[in-house]
This record gives sequence, structure tokens and C-alpha cells, in this order.
Amino acid sequence: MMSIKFRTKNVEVSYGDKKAIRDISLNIKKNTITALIGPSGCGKSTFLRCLNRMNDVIENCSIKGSVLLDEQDIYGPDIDPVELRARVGMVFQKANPFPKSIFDNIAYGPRIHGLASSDNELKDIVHNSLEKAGLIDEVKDRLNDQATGLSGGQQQRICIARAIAVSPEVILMDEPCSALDPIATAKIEELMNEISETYTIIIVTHSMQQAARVSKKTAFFHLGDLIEYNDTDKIFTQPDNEKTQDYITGRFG
Amino acid sequence: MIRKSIKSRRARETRLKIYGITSICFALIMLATLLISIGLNGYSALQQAYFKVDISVNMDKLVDESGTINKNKMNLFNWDGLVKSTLREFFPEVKERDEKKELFAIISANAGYDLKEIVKKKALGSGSHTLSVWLHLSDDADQYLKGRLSIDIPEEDRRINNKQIAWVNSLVERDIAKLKFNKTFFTSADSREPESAGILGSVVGSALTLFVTVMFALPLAVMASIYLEYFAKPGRITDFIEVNVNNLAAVPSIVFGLLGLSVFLSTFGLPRSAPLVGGLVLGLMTLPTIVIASRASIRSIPPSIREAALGLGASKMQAAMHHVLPLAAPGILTGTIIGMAQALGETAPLLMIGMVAFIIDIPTTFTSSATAMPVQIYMWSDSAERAFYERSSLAILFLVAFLISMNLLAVMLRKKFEKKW
Repeated sequence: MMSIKFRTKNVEVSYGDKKAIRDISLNIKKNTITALIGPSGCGKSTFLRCLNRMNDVIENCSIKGSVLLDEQDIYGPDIDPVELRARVGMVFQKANPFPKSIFDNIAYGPRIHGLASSDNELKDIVHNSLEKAGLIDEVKDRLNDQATGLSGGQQQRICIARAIAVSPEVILMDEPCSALDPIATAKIEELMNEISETYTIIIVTHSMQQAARVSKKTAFFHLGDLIEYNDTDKIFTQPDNEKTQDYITGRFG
Repeated sequence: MIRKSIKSRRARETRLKIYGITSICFALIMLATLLISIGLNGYSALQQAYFKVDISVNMDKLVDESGTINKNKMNLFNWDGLVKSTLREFFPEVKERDEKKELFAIISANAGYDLKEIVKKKALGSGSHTLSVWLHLSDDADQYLKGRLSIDIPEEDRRINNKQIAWVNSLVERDIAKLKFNKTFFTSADSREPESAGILGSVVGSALTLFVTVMFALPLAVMASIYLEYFAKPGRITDFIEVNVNNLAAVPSIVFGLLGLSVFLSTFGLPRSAPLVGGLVLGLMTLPTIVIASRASIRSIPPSIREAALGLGASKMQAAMHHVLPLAAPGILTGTIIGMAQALGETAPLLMIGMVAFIIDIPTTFTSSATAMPVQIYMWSDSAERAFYERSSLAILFLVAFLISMNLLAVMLRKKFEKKW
């Protein structure tokens, strides 16, 4: 099934007078992993944050163009960003578990959205989310421990489990492995592969190897423009654009 | 070359360290001097001169048929006369009217009233009872026994004359008069007579006032800070609010008193001298302090926590209430305690709303007349009687103790709420 999940048309984001991204039009397929790559400051994170309206929080940030989720404009008047973010979850660059217990971290989303009608149901959701995130064996005996006491990689997987607990359709990941060691990174990549059958994943990454390893589609951003968007294999073997070629071969960035 | 410069750099460092230590020492010495001098002036107020009287009371005249004490009869009974006649038994040689007056001046003018209260408290049944009670000596006798009245000055300039001194000494020799722990100071409110005056009234007044202050200022300040930090759109209006909040913190406190007078008393018609009004005025005064501290505390919470909550689909409100506020609580609490400490020591605004009143009852409600501790100290220090001087010193120590315990509470609460990550 290769239907389109996100369809963006001429998206332009500016912070005050400064344009961060220009004229981005791209279609993101359902239940695949799409990687956004590019040098720092190219606007890939900005674009990612457009997809669940996290840019709304930033002062004097304005967005033009349209972003369609399942053919519905997420900037339309009848869309509540709160509801949208429940459908489009997010994992951040720096693992940011709440300074609460592991259980409360995972249970927070389901609690505020009222997804569980009983304590047992909530426990099931927490358990399933941790299982999907491949953490259950590591933490099942200490669900009441502080999540902030875990290792960096575990914390990031807690954040993924926390996002999964709300049963989103899309998970946005903003450089989720940039602060992790290779072993923790490998675990997260493995996890992404496993869950990509049920979730549409969009990942921003600085590591081209990571993009090559995990994603099916890759978009290359440069200075606020979308330079090239294609199958990952194609991008990394025979890119159409010279800039892409230069970037993936390490000539700049 | 480098070695030479290192030497001078090290010297500069040492000098700076010495400056720092010196200034800390200076501050500590000043503080110690202050506390010690107040302590030396005030410690004697912990004791009070009492004299013992053995009195027989016939309760038949004071109770109803049912045997319970009749208030009316109690009030009509001549307690003063009873105390005075008992005292005269010790000094049968005193016969003349003027001399009698001098003799009675060595005991508290409230002795009769105090005796009545003691009898009332004992709830004696009918029949005749013999009681042995300790009553206050007058403040002058008290000061003499404590050695605070110099007897070197000429008799006519003294508050206590030679005859009175002889009587007091004779009472002490007979073991009828002595200095005892001054319980009255901790259990009663203000009085015209220093020996009957206590701090409890103003402590309760301060506590009631501060309660209103916290209840009023804290929620308002927290809501205002959350709004300003997370909801307000940056622009002219927000800037205007921000500038004014900061300005408000610098407004002299008496202006808030005037505000309370014209708004709370004149416009809303709230009762005068009431802890309710005092609390509202002090609340307005501490509001900017708490707002500024709360905003700083909220701003210091890493945005990632808020983003995490928002990313899960929490509303702005939920992100603030569930995550930011609990984490910012220790900082907000610190700000609140600083504000409260400021409010506790504040006198000027309370003067404007009539809390500088002579109140002999311990306040029981938020609308009953009350004073606050600093006002009480101010009034006592203004009194002519020497015995009030040591009492105001002791009250200052009490105020400081109150402050320290408030700060301790703040530290404990902060420890409890503080989360590590």
C-alpha cells in the first residue's frame, strides 16, 4: 500500500523577515520511513515541525502554502493543533523524558487524551508501548523509577514509546540519535524498522549512513530549498542534482 | 615572562579573596552585633516580677443557684479591694491615704482583673476557697528587681521611691515576690500596662494577615506569570504590562496602604484594622515580587519538557499545569517566601488601613481588629514605660524567629518538591 500520507504544496516558513524554507512541495508515503537530510540550517527541522504545527509555539513564525494530512489541510480552520499532535507524534533531538516515573512518562499521553477507561487498560497500553519500543525487558521491573535516571539511549526509546502510546499515525523524529552512541543508535534504527510497518516515520538526520540504512525515501534540503527528493537508493547512488552529489560524497556540509 | 605575570595574577586572586572574606566578616559582625544588642535588651522580658497572695474567696456570692459562675456577679465583685487588702496585711504600718496609694503602685493596676480571670478559669464551686495565686507586680517594681532602674538618681526623678523600694525588698525577703517566667508575654495581646502586655495578639494578627496575603497573591502571581510567559502575544500591550509589573515592585509600600485605604476601605467598605484588608494590601505589594520570581523560574525550565508535552498533544494549558508548573514550583516558592518575609516586616501600609491600633483581644477572624508584629513593636517602642522597651526588643527577636522559621519551611518545601534530572 503506497498511498500518500502527507502532501505539502509550496510550503514557506519565515521567522520574522527571514525565510527559513521556500516552496517545499513533497509527498510522503504512508507507512514508510522518509529521511530529510542536508547541512545544518537548511530548514529540514523547520519543515518537520510544520507537519505537526510545532512551529505554532515559536513567536513570529509564519507559514504559507498548504500541508495536507490524508488530504486534509492541517492549517485549516477546523483542525485543532492539539488533536493533530495526537495523530502526528514527535521525538526530539535531545531525549526529553518528563522527570517522572517511567510509567507516568508513557501513560501521560493516554491519560490526557482519555485513551484508557481503566487502570488495567492503561497498564496494557504502557506495557504494549514499551514492548514495541523494545524496552520492556530492560525496564519492566522498575516502572516506578525516574525515567531521567536511565541511560541516554534508553531515555530516547522511552520518548519513542511515549509517542507510540498515543497511537499516532505519523511519528516525526528530529535527529533522534545525534546524542547517542553507535550501539544505542543501532537499537533505535532497528526499532524504527520494526515499527515502520504501522507508522509513517519522517526522520531528520545528519548522518547520511543512517538515512541510507533506514529510509526508503530521502529528501535533500539545502539553504531552505528542497533540492532533490527520491528513493533513497537512487539518491545515494546516482543523484540527479550536482549539489546532492557533492553533499553525499562529503564535499560540503 | 609568563612566570612573572603568573605571580601577579595569583596575588590579584588572593587580594580579591581577601576582599570577599572581609566583606562577609563585616556583614556577619554587623548582624551579630545587632542580634546581640537586641538580645541583651530583650532577654529580661522573658521574666516578670510576680508576688504571691493567699486569698480566700467565698464563691457563694459569685455563683448561680446551679453552682456555675455568674459573670455579672464576678464583674461586680471588688477584686481590686481584695488584692489590696491582702497586700496591706503585709505592711500594717501603712495607714495614710497617700502612703496607701504609693503601696498599691508597686502592684500591677490589672492585678484585680487578673485575679478575677484566674478564679474564673478555676471554675470553683460554691463554698469558701483559699487560693494561693501569683499576680504581677507593677512594671516599675519589675524594672527595679531586674536592675534596670538605677537607684543612684535622686528620688524625685525616679519612677519608684525609696519607700516603695523598701516594700518590694521586704516582699522579696519574705519570698512573696520574685522574678518568674513571663508567661503573659506569650499568651496575651497588647495592654496599657507593660506587665500585662503580650505578643500573641500581634502574632496571630500577622499570621492571619499573611495567610490572606498568600492566598491572594500566590494564585494571581502564578496565573499572571504563566500568561505572560506562554500565552501573551509579544507586542505593545505585553511590554506595557511587563514594564508596569517591574515598576510596581519599586513602588513605596505606603502607597499600597493609601490604595487600600481608598479602595478597600472607602469604596468596598471593608472593615478597618482587619487582617483581611491588611492581607489584601500586602498581597498587592508582594504580587510583583512573586510574579518576577515565578517568571524567572518558569523560564528556567528547559523548553524541551514543554515541547515533549505539546508533541504528545497536550494543550498549552496542560503542558503548563502538568509539567512546567511542578518543576517551577521550588523557584516560585522561594519567590513567594521572599515576598512573604517582606510583607511580614512591613509596617507602613498597615498604618494607613488602621492596623496600628491598640487592641487588647487576640483576633479570631479575618475581619476582627488586629495588629501585626512590626506594628506592635513600633507601638511599644513609642511607649514611655521602660518595661515596654525590653518587650519590644524581645518582640523583635520573636519576629526574627518567625522569619527564620518561615525560611526553614521554604527550604524544606523546596527540598520536597525539587526534582532532579
